[in-house]
Amino acid sequence: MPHSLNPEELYQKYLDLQLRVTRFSSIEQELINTREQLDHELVLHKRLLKFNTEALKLNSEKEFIQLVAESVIDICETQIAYVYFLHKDRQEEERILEGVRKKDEAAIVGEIEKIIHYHKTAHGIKVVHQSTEHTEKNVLKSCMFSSTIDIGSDVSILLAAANSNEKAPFYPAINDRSKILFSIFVQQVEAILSNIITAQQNRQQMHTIAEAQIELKKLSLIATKTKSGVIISDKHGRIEWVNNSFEQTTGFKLEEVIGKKPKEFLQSDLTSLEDKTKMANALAAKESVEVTVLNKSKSGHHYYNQLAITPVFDEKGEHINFIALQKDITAEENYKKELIQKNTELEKINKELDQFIYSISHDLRSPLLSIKGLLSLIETSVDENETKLYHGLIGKSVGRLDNTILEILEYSRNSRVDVYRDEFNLQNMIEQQFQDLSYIAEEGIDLKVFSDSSPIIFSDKTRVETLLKNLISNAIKYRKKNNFTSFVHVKIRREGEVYVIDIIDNGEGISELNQKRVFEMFYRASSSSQGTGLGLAMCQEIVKKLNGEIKLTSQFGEGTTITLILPNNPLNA
Amino acid sequence: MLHFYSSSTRMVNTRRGVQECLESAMGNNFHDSDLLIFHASIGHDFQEIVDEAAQLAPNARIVAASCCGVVGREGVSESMKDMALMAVKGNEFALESCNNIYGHNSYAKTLEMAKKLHAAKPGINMLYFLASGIDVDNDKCIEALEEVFGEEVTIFGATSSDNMKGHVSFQAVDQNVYEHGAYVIGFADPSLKVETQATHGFVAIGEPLVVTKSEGHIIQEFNGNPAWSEYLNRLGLAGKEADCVDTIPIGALGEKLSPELSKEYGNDHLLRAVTKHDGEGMHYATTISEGTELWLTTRNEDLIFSEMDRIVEEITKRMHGKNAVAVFHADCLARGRFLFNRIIKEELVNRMQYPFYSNSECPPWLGMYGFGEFARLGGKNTFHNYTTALYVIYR
Repeated sequence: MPHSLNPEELYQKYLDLQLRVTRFSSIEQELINTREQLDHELVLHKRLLKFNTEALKLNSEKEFIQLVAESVIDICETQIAYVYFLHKDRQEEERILEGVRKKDEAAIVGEIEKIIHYHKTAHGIKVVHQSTEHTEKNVLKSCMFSSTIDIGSDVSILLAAANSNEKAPFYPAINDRSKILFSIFVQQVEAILSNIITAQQNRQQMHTIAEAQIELKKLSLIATKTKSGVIISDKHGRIEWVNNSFEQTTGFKLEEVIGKKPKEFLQSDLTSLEDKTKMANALAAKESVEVTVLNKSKSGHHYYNQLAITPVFDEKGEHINFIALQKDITAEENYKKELIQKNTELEKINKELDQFIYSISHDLRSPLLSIKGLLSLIETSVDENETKLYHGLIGKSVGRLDNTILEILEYSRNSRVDVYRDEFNLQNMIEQQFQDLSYIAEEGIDLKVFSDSSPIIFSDKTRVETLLKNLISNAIKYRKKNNFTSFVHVKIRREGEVYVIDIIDNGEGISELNQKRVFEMFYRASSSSQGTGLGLAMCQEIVKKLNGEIKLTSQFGEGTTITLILPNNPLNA
Repeated sequence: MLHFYSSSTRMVNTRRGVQECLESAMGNNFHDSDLLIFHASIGHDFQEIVDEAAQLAPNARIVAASCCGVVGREGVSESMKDMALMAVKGNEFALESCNNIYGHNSYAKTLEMAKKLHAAKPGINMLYFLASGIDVDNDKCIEALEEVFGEEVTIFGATSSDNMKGHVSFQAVDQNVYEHGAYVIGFADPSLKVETQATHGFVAIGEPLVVTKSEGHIIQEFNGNPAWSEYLNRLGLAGKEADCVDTIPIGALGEKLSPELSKEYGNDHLLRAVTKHDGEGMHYATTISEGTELWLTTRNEDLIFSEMDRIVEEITKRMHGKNAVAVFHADCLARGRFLFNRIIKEELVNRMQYPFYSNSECPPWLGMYGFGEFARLGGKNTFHNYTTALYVIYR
């Protein structure tokens, strides 16, 4: 039989039961709290996963460290996050503080850095709880921070999470659980930051490559389209590439020259040893060189090649290539030569002009002075015969003056007037001149012309006429006096495209000393000469104009032979 | 005519959180908003919230309150970094606020606000009230508001909280942040109506704790014993270093309701929370008279769900097919993550939101997990604890 309870016992049992019921609520709540804690930790790990996902999408370090700062708060559930980022190479440092009012930032950063400095750890995570005794002095209640993580040699990052005294009541205390989460988070940061930096470096390299490719395209375009020949060779000088212009200038195609050295097929025997040595020394020393060489094209044609060779080095300073730019400057070289020639001519003309002015002033002044003197004598003379003699002498001086002026005009005309071609008979021309000049001979002289055929020449008739007239008249003028066997014989013969004319006399002859100077302007070989000294000089200029030659052989006292070589059709000679 | 827009987010950076809320709620038109009501969990800096909001919407009046988590159209979030916003366009409203409101001066402070509000805007037909959730006599607040606006004007709102530590709660008005403040918004759009209702789903158990000594809203003794010790003893927490954070989830105190109110409420008891104690003195949420019987309670999950469905059904019935234009929602923080796991909680929120959808869209929704809720009961404005309270504004 069950024991019957009295009312007091029954009430006590009721109260006990009541306590059990409510206590069951508190136990139930503890279970709920435990479940909630597990659930919440799952949430925190999900946030860690979310951080990973978001961080992996980022490209810039700045965005990443901002995300890190926010995620420290989100994942570790602290009030404050501090991230210190240092890029040594770029000399950049960044401090990110999250979860703090602006006005408190300086104080919080100062205290965090003080804690880190004081409690710095070589490795891992350090948790620091500040003593409550110093609460009034300290802004922070607790702080955990990582050792400095070096990402490669250039980048390092340090993370800290903290709670302030003011807000600490709202936040879970920093404990082992938060330390574990923080530790995992720090590892993730290290891994992802490393990825970002590697990706950045890769992007930078890609960018550099892309830029280099663009640059290369441009350079290729320039190299291909430039009018200069371009040769790219390896470090041994063996050709890797040439452009179109090179092919056009040299006649060699790319496939013909690949692997060959340019000197093997371009260098001419005419290239000077000095240029070859200069080039070889520079290439051996891997130095730039500029030189003008005479090269030979595939067809054997010689051309002047202005060559600039530059060695190319890679980023490590290793010599990898030579680039040569070549330019055919044959036209320029010819022009240069022409200029030099013209300059020489000008110099000669200047010299002649000086001589001419000197001579002309002398030769013109001399008869004038003579005239002036004779006129004075006439003024004072009372003798009619004397006066007549003076008049005769004045007439001679005037004749000399006129002769000089005519020869000057003839000389000038030869240099000014273009060569005019005409067909005429040399023999006829000489015979006519013998006839015209016969008045000079005071006594008999044998004048003959010999020709092996009808000497029809295609040349400048006026110039040839002047030329022959001067030479024949000289031969007549300078015959031996009182010699009745004097002769002037002209022999004409054709040799291919030229006529050879020998004007032979047995006159005074020209001394060896004078032979060298007889063609100079105003030079008189004979003291008996009444000439201007322009005759032979003009003859030489005429022969030059006609692209011919004039030669003189003479023996003093025996006679002279002048040989003319005149091209038939002188413009083509 | 007033227009409502809402958004919520979880973001560590406060200023960016404000910006995101404004952009999500109003697109690019947030500069033109007239009133911004923020709820944010305690990890955010409230000065930063109002500063950033003032910068982005320079013409808007701004209020903010701390809480343990938020509920928006986007769902539930209970973390240290939640933020939710109800943005309002239109000028048919007035706002008043006060600082240093406590249990002993709740009536006077609220009365002063109510008078100013009444003078500021004629035609106010509903009041959104928010006060500190710690050491405030909420019955006195209701009394003061009703004295000016009459009993027929619906008072809805909540009391702010921290993350259930009972340490501090924040209220912000324009550029000022308070720890013991309150604000009241009077809506004066005649086209708008509001329906409110609260439910808790707890069941009273055992013998009541009888208040044998009290002063205003502070209980000093239960059953002739020091109140806090007796309370912990009954909760099975005696001898432990327990504080409000431990008692709030399991220590709801039930006041017996009349049979009529019980029927409307779906429960025999109206619940009260203790959010602070000074030694043995327990800070009750309303004035408490000696002799009052207070029952400990235990949660009943089935009841929680069935009651939720019931009040939503009753609210929608009273709306007569009209569309909700905004829903304010206050939930007890003890009904948050300390009561349900996330899945159940989200299901619960979904069941309270879905019936108000229009064109497959949830209306603008601003909910918070706080210390207390205001909702009408028996035709009167009433303060509640441990409830889900819905305030559906419709036209």
